Amino acid sequence: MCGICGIMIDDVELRHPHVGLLLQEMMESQQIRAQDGAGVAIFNKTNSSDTFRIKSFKDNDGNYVSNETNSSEEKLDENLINLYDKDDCTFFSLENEMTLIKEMGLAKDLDKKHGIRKMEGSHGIGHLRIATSSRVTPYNTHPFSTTILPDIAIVHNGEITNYDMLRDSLELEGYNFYTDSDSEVIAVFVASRILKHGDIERAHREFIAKADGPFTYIAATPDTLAMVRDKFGTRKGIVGYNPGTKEHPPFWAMATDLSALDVIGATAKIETPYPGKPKIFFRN
Amino acid sequence: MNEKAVLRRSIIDLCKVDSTREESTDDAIRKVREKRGNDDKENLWDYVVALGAQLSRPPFDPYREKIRLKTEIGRKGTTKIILKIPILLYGEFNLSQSSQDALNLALNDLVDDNSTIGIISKGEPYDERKYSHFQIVNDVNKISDPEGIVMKYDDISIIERIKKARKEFCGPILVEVDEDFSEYTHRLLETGVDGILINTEKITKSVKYAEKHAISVIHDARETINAFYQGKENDGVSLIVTGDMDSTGKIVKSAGLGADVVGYNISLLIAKTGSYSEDFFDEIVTAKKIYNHMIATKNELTGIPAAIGYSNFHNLSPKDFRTSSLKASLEGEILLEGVNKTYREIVKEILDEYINTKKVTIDQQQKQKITEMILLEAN
Amino acid sequence: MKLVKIDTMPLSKEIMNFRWDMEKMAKKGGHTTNLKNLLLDAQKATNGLVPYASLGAHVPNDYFSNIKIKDATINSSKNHSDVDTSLTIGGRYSKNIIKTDVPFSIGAMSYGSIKLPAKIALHLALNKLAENGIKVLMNTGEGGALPWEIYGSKKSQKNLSKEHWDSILQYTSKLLKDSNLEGIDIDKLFQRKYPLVVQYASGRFWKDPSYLLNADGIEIKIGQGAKIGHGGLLPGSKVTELVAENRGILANKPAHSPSRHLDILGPEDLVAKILEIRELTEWKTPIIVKVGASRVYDDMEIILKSYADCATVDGLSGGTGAAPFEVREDIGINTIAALLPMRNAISDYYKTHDKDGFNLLVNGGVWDSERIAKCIALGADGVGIGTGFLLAMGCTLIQECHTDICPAGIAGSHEKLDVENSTEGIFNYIKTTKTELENIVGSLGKKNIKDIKSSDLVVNDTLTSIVSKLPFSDGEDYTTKIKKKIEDIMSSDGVSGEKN
Repeated sequence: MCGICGIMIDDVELRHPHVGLLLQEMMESQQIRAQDGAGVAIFNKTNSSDTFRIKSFKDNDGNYVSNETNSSEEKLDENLINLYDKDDCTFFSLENEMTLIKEMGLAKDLDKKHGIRKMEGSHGIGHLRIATSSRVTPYNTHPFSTTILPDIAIVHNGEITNYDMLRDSLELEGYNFYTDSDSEVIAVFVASRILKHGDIERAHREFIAKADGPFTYIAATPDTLAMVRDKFGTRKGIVGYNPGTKEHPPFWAMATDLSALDVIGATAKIETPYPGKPKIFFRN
Repeated sequence: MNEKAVLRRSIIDLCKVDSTREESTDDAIRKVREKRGNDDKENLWDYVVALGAQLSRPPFDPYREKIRLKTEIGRKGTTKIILKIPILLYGEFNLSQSSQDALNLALNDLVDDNSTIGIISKGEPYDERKYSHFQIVNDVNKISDPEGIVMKYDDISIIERIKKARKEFCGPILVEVDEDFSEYTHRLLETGVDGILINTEKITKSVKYAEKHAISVIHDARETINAFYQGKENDGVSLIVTGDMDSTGKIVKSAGLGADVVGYNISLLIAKTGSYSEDFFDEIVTAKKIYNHMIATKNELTGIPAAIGYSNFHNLSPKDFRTSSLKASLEGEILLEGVNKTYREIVKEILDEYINTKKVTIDQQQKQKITEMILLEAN
Repeated sequence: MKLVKIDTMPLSKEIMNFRWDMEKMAKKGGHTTNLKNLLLDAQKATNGLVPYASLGAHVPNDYFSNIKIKDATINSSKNHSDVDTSLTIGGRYSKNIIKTDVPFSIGAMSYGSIKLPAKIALHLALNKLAENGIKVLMNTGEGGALPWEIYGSKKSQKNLSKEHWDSILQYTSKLLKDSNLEGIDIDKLFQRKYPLVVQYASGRFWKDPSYLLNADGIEIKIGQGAKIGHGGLLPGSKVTELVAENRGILANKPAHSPSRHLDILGPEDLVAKILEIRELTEWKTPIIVKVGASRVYDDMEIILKSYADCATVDGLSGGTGAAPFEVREDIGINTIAALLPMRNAISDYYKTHDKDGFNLLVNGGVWDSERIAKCIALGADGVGIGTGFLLAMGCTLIQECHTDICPAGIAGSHEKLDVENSTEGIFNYIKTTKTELENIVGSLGKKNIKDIKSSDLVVNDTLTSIVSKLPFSDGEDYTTKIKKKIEDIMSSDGVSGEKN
């Protein structure tokens, strides 16, 4: 956990949907602080189709390789169960509109390998990792997704100190976990609540009430982008706006540190989300 | 000569001009310890520590951020009792009238201060009380309108009495169990009992726990309750631990081992608040002292979870504690400091390694037996 | 607190038994912790406040006395003064390095928690040692530095304006007058011949930027062993006018530092903070990060990745001027137990990075040559000593430093500390400890303190073997011994199983 960032384009027609470019710029500006891993999740409605993508990391004796399988909606449960049973494969993303990419190492290497700068969409999130409690592996990098619902991604800065208790009760409800990272519990919890009552703001508030420890996270779903801070505001989080130009779109940006907003010119309407009150943007 | 004196003498020797010491401080300390012998059993709590929060996990600031100590007693369907601090004063002997009066005054003052605790006692609940009183009875017909009741387990016939009580009483029902709790607790819980109370001082005097410490009793009680909840939703059974609970440190460590509420020993509380003067027992003075003691304890109790990185006292878990004693590690399955494994795990690993390298085949039962025999010799 | 005659009280049986036990224990002279707890309980009952405590926790097992250095002696008929006991800190990212002639330093004890005479005794002793060719590192502690520590050289005084210098002298004379030390030679006082590390703690108790700029090293204090997760604390009665002036705070009000730095909320902030300080000091000054020993591996991992030059880890028995009693007693792990995860974190880090001169210091219950050598053998580069120096000044270990009643006059002002005697005592303490270290190293046939390794150590009980991974004196460690027990059980029980 370390530097988190998020972008939401503020233009109904999405004339310049350079989400990937903006996220990449933000991440590279923070690189000196964290170098263990990088990842993004970018949402683009044009990617939406009848096919779902299930992504996992396959363990070739310590060398992890990213794997992707396509699945129809009907076969989704079956394919997920098959994946869960495989010892050497670790699930990391269930996507339709979303594209989630993450690797160990630096942000610029992520871009070189996957062309992040060229990726387009309506909104997205990014993360740079400095390993603090879980081991440095690609499946412990962020963003985290879940098998409960597709197109949910979380990036997190902090530690959920009562992770064990939360994980136990979610597992009792029947939800699966795939890593030992405490950040994963945010994705599972929020997804389970959306499934239960559909109210995203309520889901975030419930998490704030139940979770203990320092955290700021950014959560993205197909229609929302939210920055959520714990009730004491123990970790930084800041939101800003860039009103755009002819060549560049107006957009909202979220980050851990002001310097990341600075580098992409998102210094209008600067706001620190109030501790304990989720700041949510809805895609119009 | 105790260790402090030995240390002083050793360092003072070093401070003399052109000095040479005969022996190092550790040599001298070793001699003192050999003479003193092993006092593990009495002070095993001293060997248990908590991991503080600093860099990988930041601490909270109890002076500036609110740390929750709120505790509920009662399962789904029971009228819950809410405490602001996870403490019930526990007095199983008959207290003098003036002691009871003093306690009543102090407990009311604590409610006014938003620091509500409760009391477990044989005596009659006071009419003008603002706090919750758990009455120790064996027959639900004999109660005088308390908020909760405590029944003592004598034999399995208690099940019938509990069923009767459950029908007629809607507050929490606690059962004080004996050393064989692991055999019948699930039946008590199935009948709807809201909490299990263990008196570690009594239980460690029994044959079953004769060589063991309170840590082992608390651990086993928590395991028993967890086993009951295997695969079920936790609907709020409380584990109340009493016995030698007389300091904040022990409250915190018991919570780490799985206690939900601590039964603070009333006799020790009154004795230690030192409220007696030579000629008379002043209720007002005693009440004030008990009140002060509890307020100070509450502030200590917010400080420690905050320093461990929690904003809620009840998030303390066994993973936050370590020990520097093999015995404590065995009794409470507490991780050893530095290596972060329990002694049992270490022995099991060595046994597995032995089996793999020597290429022997033994069954699970034999493995278990060998492990237990080695652990028995823990020194 | 008076113990009461039993027969005049309407006491329950429990209380009577309890009183008898207390009296018996008091007579036996043992179990001093229980008696201490009794006093703390009486305190809580009297004033409803969280009781404070000072110096180190009562640690029943700190492993040190269960470890021996094989064949080494602290005394020797031979002269081992050619043994190298020096320590260097810095150089990993900093341009400058700190070089000291002994591998131990004065632990962080602030002006405020200890009084001026004690600080002056340490200062004069270290100057005298430096004149005798032994440079020792000093740490200011959290409460800022004294004027002669910041401006202890002609060079540092050179660019001061007359007003600034006058105000410094004014404050100095106030300090000396307050402690009846006017006889001290100001010119001699304003010389600092030893290296100084200043502490950058969450309280930020300094007003003069030269505090950081004139320092030889900067230690960012995240936590200390005595009160992990709790900020620095100076009780109101000890925040005198002069202490308050030095720290830039209000007098007679307790000084509670925040439990975490308000601008270091996570590991990435630590990186930013260190880079900020590096820019401020033009990358010259070595930067140390200090933590208490608790989640050692994780904390070390963060420090290694944070551009620090050095880490200090402070064990459970590390002392303090004041801490809430339960926080001091119950939180943190032992120094020896912390050394293993420290070593593991360092070796894991350097599996994927080139060696670059990272240093490790430990504090907490280390006070003589044998303990210093053991820590170095187990992976530390150097140690910090706190309580040892207090003892050298006459401390009687009553552990009431948070009040004003120190019988040695170190932490309280009711008694007067003999500065001259204390200076002598500290001087001899350090000199003799250096000689003992030379003897230990020399008696092992080695030439450098850094050559003491874990292979020179043995233990005498299972737990210490587990926690330190050291063998018993017969060469077997706990793994071998347990495997032998398994052999015995299997052959005696006839549980030999089938060999496949």
